[in-house]
Amino acid sequence: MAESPPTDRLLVWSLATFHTGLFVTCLVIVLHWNGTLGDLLHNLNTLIGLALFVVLWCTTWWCTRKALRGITLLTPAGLLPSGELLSRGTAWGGVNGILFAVILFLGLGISSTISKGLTAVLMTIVLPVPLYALFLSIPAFFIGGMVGVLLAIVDSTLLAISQRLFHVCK
Amino acid sequence: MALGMVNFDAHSLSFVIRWVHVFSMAFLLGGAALLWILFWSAQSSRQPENDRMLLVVAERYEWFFWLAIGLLVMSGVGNLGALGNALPKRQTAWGGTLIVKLSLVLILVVFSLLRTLLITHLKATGHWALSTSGHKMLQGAYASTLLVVVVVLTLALSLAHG
Repeated sequence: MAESPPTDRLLVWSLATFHTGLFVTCLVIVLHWNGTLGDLLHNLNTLIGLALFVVLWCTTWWCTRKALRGITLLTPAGLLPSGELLSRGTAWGGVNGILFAVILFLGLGISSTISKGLTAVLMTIVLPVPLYALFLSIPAFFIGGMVGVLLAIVDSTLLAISQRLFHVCK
Repeated sequence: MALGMVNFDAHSLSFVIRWVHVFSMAFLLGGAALLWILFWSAQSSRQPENDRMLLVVAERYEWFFWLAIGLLVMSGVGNLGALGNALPKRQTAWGGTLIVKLSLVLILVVFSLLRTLLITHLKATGHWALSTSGHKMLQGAYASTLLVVVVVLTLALSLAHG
């Protein structure tokens, strides 16, 4: 499989961080607005919170990379019709939702049962993962897909604007 | 503790989180200021080689800019987590300032993505020599970034001061 050129890597990196940052900042604003942010953060261990952010950042980077694979966004003629960007955004947003939910479930499950020993972790968390993944994947895909399509709309708009600015610059 | 056997000192963790937050902000501010000064200085002696060097520096900055944004959001939530239940409600002056600060962060990331996309377009298509309006636009983009970062920093200081 061919490696993407350096500029494409910057595109993937900036879009992935943009998606993660925008999503988390919007979530914090909404939670602060309805007055539940303090209680939620109080009940969440700081290290686990940081680890969850890193996991979301990594899964979003991977899904953004996959979503942009094989398409050229940088040349004016190669700008995708918005429809394809939206469908890829929905699909890979859904995959990101599943990945995040499964890692979240595994991480929280293992951390809460590790004190009972490795056998307990294997029997109650690791072995039933396919079963849990099946039940988790439907809502996770739906939520991830919804976020993905919204972000794809924002991306399409910003790409269209940057195309116009590019013509002024060159 | 939910993490089981691992026991972390909350005070030290809070110090590390604040350090990452301040360091990332310092990078955003310093980098935007440097690029604005470089574009401004190059205005009087426009050469294709100067434009090329500016774009290379700008591209490097964009890589670290997004790293710093990710670290800022992560450590920012960590800072709020240190307040926990004591986090003031949005109806208070502190809570209102936080909403304004976070809204400015949203504006910063949206406009910064436009700036990064523009730099990426120019590099990918090999347009090293900028038009006069293009040069001014990028100079303005870094000046605007600097301005928004300074306002966010002022609000952050006001929140930290209490």
